[in-house]
Amino acid sequence: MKKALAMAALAGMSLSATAELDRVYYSGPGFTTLNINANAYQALAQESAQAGPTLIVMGSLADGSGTKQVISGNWGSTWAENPINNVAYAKMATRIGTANQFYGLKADGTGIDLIYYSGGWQVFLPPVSTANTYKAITADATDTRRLFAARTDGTGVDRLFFNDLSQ
Amino acid sequence: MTGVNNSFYGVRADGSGLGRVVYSGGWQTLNVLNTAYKALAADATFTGNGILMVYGARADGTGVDRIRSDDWGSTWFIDFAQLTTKDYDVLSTMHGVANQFYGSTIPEPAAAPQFTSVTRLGDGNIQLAGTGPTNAPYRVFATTNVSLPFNEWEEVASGSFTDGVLSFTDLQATNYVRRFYRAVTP
Repeated sequence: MKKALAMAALAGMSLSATAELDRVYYSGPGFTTLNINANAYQALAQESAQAGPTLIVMGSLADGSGTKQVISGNWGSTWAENPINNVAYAKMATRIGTANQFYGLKADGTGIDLIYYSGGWQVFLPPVSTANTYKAITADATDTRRLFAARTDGTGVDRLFFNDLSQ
Repeated sequence: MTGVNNSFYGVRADGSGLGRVVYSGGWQTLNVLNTAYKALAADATFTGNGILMVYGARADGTGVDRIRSDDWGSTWFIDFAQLTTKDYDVLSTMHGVANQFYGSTIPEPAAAPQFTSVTRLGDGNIQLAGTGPTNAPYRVFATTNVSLPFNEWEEVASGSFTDGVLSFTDLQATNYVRRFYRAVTP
């Protein structure tokens, strides 16, 4: 009888628990949670020009398959999801005061995109920044050309200035 | 920080809480709270009359707090603890709308499949036991040469992790001097 030795290896991964995107709002005396959809987004950026009845939030899917526009035309009663691009963004930041625009920190570490809608979804080229690797971004509230970005190496935060005013 | 230029909130990477960074002739970093949060969203409209608000998703997953200052950030307190107990991983401000935010939950990855025991039976065959995501499908591959590309391994079993368990007996094991096994999903 031949002997058999066995070694075990592992591979594969799946997801458990519940993926969801919610809208949370105050309706005295407490907050109410409304479900939008059952997708998991690793980054979100609200579209700042719409405050109702149209509501828009951009989300980059956690599985890395791309980035979507999630939109309601009726104060959040119903929602639809539209594709923006196939880029995975680790973090996103609203470009405040501009319709259908946001900044996206690419998950592959190759820089920060400015994404905008002009007949279709466009990515401004070249990227806003590739000088450093960042792990978080947030946009300035009053100057659409400014971004704050936290460095991946933990050495601090940079203020980035987007000097092209055409977008 | 909505409505305020050159200012933002940040979760400290060392888990020691959150701060507020403002420009006032030079950049200043101010402590807000020492509570650990994993995501933040500023409230969109409360930036007047000295009121500042920010929502924080707790790092321990127990919910979201609203953090507030009534004196332009000199002092801070949690005025709504666990306004929801949902475990959000990402928050987004709703600009232009008060007292609202978006939250996204990213599921934790389920445990990867793994073998937990390898037993030689009395007849010389090999019995493998393992665990994996409950009810997820699995396949077991085998080879005598572990250095072979995986696409050259032989599929020897398939099934589902019923109650999270895999059980497989290799009835061909006695035909080999040694055999390597690998379980994958799907």
